Amino acid sequence: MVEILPCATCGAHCPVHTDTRSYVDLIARGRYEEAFERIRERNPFPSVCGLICHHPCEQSCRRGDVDEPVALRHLKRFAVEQASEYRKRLRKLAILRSEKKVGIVGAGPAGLTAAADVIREGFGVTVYEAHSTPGGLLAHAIPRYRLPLEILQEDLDDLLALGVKVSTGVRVGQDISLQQLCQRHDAVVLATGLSLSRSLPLEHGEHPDVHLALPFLQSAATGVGQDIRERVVVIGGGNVAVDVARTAIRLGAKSVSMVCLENEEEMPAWDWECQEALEEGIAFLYRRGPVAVTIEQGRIVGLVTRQVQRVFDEQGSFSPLYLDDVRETIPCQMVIIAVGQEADLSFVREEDGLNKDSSGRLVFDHGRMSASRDGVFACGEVVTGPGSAIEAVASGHRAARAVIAFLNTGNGLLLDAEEIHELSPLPSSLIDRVKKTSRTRMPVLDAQIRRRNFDPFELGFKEEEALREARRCLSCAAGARVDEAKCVACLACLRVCPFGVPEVKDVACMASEMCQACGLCAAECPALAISITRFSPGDLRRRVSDLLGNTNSSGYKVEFRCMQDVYTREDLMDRWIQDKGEMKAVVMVPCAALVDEVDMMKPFEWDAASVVVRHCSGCRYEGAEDRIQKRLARTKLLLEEAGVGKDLLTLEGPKEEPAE
Amino acid sequence: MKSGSGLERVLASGTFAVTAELGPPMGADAEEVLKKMEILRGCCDAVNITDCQTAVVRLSSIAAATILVSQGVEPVMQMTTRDRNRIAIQADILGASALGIKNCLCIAGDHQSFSAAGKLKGHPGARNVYDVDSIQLVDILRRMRDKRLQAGGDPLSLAPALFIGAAWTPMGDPVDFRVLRLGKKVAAGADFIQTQGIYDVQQFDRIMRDVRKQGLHEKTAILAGIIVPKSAGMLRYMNSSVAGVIVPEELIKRFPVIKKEMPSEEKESLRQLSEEVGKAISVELIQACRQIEGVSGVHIQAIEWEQAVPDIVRLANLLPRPDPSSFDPKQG
Amino acid sequence: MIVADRKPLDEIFGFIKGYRKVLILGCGECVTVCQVGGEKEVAVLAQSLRLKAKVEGLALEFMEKTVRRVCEPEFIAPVLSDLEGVDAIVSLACGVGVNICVDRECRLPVFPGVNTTFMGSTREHGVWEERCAGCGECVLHLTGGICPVARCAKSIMNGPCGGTDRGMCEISTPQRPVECAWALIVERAKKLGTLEDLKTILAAKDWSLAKDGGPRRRVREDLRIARIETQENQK
Repeated sequence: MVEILPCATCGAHCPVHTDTRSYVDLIARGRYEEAFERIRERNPFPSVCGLICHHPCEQSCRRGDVDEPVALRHLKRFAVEQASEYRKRLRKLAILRSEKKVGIVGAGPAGLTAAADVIREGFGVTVYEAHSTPGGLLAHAIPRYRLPLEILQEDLDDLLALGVKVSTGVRVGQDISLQQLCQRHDAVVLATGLSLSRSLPLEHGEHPDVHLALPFLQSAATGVGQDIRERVVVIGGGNVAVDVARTAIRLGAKSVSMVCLENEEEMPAWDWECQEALEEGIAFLYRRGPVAVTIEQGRIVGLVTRQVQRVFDEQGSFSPLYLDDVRETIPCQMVIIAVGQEADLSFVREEDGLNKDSSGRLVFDHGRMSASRDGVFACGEVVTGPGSAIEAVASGHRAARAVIAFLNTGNGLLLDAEEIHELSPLPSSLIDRVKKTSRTRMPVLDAQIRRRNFDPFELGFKEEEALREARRCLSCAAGARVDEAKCVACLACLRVCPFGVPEVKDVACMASEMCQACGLCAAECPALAISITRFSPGDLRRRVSDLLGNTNSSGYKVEFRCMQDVYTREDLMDRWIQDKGEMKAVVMVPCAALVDEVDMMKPFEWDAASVVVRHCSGCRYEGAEDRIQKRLARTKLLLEEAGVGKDLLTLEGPKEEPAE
Repeated sequence: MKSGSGLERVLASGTFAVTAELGPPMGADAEEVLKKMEILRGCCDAVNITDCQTAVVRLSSIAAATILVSQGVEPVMQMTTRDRNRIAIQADILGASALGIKNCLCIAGDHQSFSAAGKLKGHPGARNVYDVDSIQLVDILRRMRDKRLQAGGDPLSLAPALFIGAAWTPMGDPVDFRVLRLGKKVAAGADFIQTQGIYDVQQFDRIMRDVRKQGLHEKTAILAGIIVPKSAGMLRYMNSSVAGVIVPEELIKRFPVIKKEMPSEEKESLRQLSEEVGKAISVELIQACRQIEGVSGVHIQAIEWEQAVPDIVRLANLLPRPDPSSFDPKQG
Repeated sequence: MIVADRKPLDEIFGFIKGYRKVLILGCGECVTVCQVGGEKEVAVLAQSLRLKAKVEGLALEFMEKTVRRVCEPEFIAPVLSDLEGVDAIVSLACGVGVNICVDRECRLPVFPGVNTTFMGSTREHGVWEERCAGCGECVLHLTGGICPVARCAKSIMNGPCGGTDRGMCEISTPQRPVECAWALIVERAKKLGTLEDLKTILAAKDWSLAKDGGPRRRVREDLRIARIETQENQK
């Protein structure tokens, strides 16, 4: 039985299983471009997600049990920003290997993700988009203060560079029928999303100042021009409702209130978005149900609401109960209804052979991503129901797999149920042993300023902030692994570990839910039986060899320097520098206690004049300083014995680096 | 009589016995042995000759004891188990007995690492034998004497006539076990016991109560060890560094303080005063130990100061020593 | 486990400086655990020797290998049969390891890289203490589990001698504190309630069962695997 290794919770909870831990580690080491590529391995919308993803990774981040989750979304954004020029060099036209072509309806995140995957497999792709620009809700509904268009364009440009054809302004069902699509293409994917706003039966609901969420957002988002009134009421408690409210205030409304059936805890919108809305002056009125719009002299003057007794029944189903006689009228001049979105399936005709169920939804096999007609697939919100952008991306990937299998074999593909074995929570015994550091705050525009414009309100991390934040990562599931053939159960790892991770029976066994990947055990193991996933085995030896092996100089200095106090990427790289007029090779290490005796002696073999191990100002691993001091003292004696001399190796603390 | 030695007779007669110690020279110097022997002649019933004490190579106890026998002074030979295996031990015992040596003190002996102390290089790298321990040695000697058998079981043509002694450190760590161990030595066949130096008589008295409770004082003759102090420094050193020796502060205080800066005449007179103090203390200790029921004698050790012994014995009213031949062995 | 100390680098270098390619051979058992001869220490020694050779201006090549347990024929044989270009071996295994190479008719000189010292246990990480002298006739049932042969400087069977000072053996120094084994034995007897048993005089040991009787051998006839005589192995 193959042991399924547990994986970090962040990646496990990400709908596309981005290797989040890995990109955070790459950022921490100054390798921003590689971080970007790691993100993009699974997600074709890194720029978008860096700004708007609802980050289920952060909600599951195990650092949260210690103090606060790592700011994974902000770090993603940082990597994306750092790679903005680099990514352009990666653009390459996909090579078509087949005559077969795929047609995708809808250029939203689901459809475009499927398009990118399919074209990389060598099949031609055409995406049909009813709007004049691609992007789906990302372009046409997400407010610009959350996602500027130029950021979305970064992702779109990379996608388009693959050679995906996007036919904008083409509405399937109108400009071309689904039947024609099926004839033109060898497979069709429906990714039309939920493009219609749901409405409510409201007395006087047909008044022109009563708007629906999506059209309202779209006008604001695309800058077409949207009227606003002094007092606006938004009906609804979801994220779209919050977007509507925050858009309304930016358009100039004096007061914006949100009226929802739910109370504060039940409200479906994300906590942080509600918080930002509150700061911007939006009022939340809980447990209210809309009844009627009141009109005076042809203008809206208020919204009549009734008290809600409860929203969910004992089974948890949506079943609101009202106190009909407890009424309150909220004065306002505009009402916007944001109670949900639904699919526009009007393009589906009888003859298309696509069945719908009793509620009008497409009959859909989630295991095969297929509709009821052969060769027609679907993905995204049109079949999953309301979801986030990253969930749409995940759905797009699934559909692509099904389509590719279909095109290669002629048969559908039953996609396996995912088997992700997630790392268990941090044991309470460990929580106190991890040095606490508070989460780096994302600088935001002051609420009073930002509520009046559509400028992006999150200002982004500076390099120092990103590095500091990335270092808070606990390196879950990237820790110590034991080569059982070499381990002799000598117990050194158990004694040296600051976190009580190893359990030693006939060999050492590393409790992955506890390991912090500090590497102390690997440096101490007398059988060299431990490797750390976070840094590959032999990493340090090889890097020293790479840096020094080619040099013809002699009499230079070598320094192993801890990365913890370093805050620019240049300083995180292995490099040669000038130090007081002498050449010095600097090798960066995640912790000084990882440098072992052989590492400290090796440079002398290559004619180094001296070696310094420089530790950081405050090691977060208990016992690490003691280990490196003693190991270094021993190595000095070895160097003395070897005739090299003990004074040529020193341990030093952090210091200011002279200008190079 | 087990051996008929003078010491045995004196003890058997009930007279308070006196033994003293002679440290042999670090050379093949019989003269030195004779010189020290003469100092001690007549002031004690038998003279212990140490056996490579602190593992330092000296003229062997058995050889020095032979010299004493030839000069009419009774020796107590000392044998450590550090340097000889049971074969050599038995051979040496047969030889000693054949040469007229009758008293033998069985000890384990200081570890050879002690030989490299101070200015001496010694032989810390020598193999330590310790084939048998001191108690097993007592047992071997007793079997040779009483059963006429070697340790391995083979017979002896003639049994050695031995008065078997063992050492005892009453105040040694762990104190509460020392009486039990004394019991083992007695059970093994120790005829007489010479203790480590006593300074804290009250504590020794308390310990002797336990000894008497077990009746050990009737089965063996206990001689209290008296180490003659020469200075406060010597007492302090013994208190801190010699296992099982405890020195009460009052004794240390009785010595004059000699400072380096003092003029040499003053230093000299103070040194002489110290010697007097040392002798006086020794006399008091002897008298105090004599009062303790179960103590059958004293064993006086004046390290490299054998000259002090006659004075001390005289001042303690223990002179003249009896003539052992006057005791009827049949009544022993 | 068997505990050993690494020989001074000068001494090891003196063994091998006349050769060209030296195998540093480690063992994956005791010497790995006591951090003197496992794979890591093989690397450390090889690196130290490389530096020394460089300082001395000698062209010496080093090969590094560690075997699961040097004292087993099946583990050591493959190493000894594959020594391309090697002209000397430094073994970091205990003394047994050096001997076995010769037993296996290795044609190369084999030098000890460690001084094998004692059989002992770990007191704490980095501190090992002698616990057993391999005397061949265990008396631990008589001394409450504390070995008077290994842990008493005089191997006394009826101890303690007069040299015990505050629970420490007379040979103790600040740099090398040694507990009096017999003080421990008495303590233990008190705890177990067996103090009376210590009145029994223990007889002198039969040292012929120890090294004094000559090099020892243990044979389990029931374990010996009969080799079926075939034409193959008669050749």
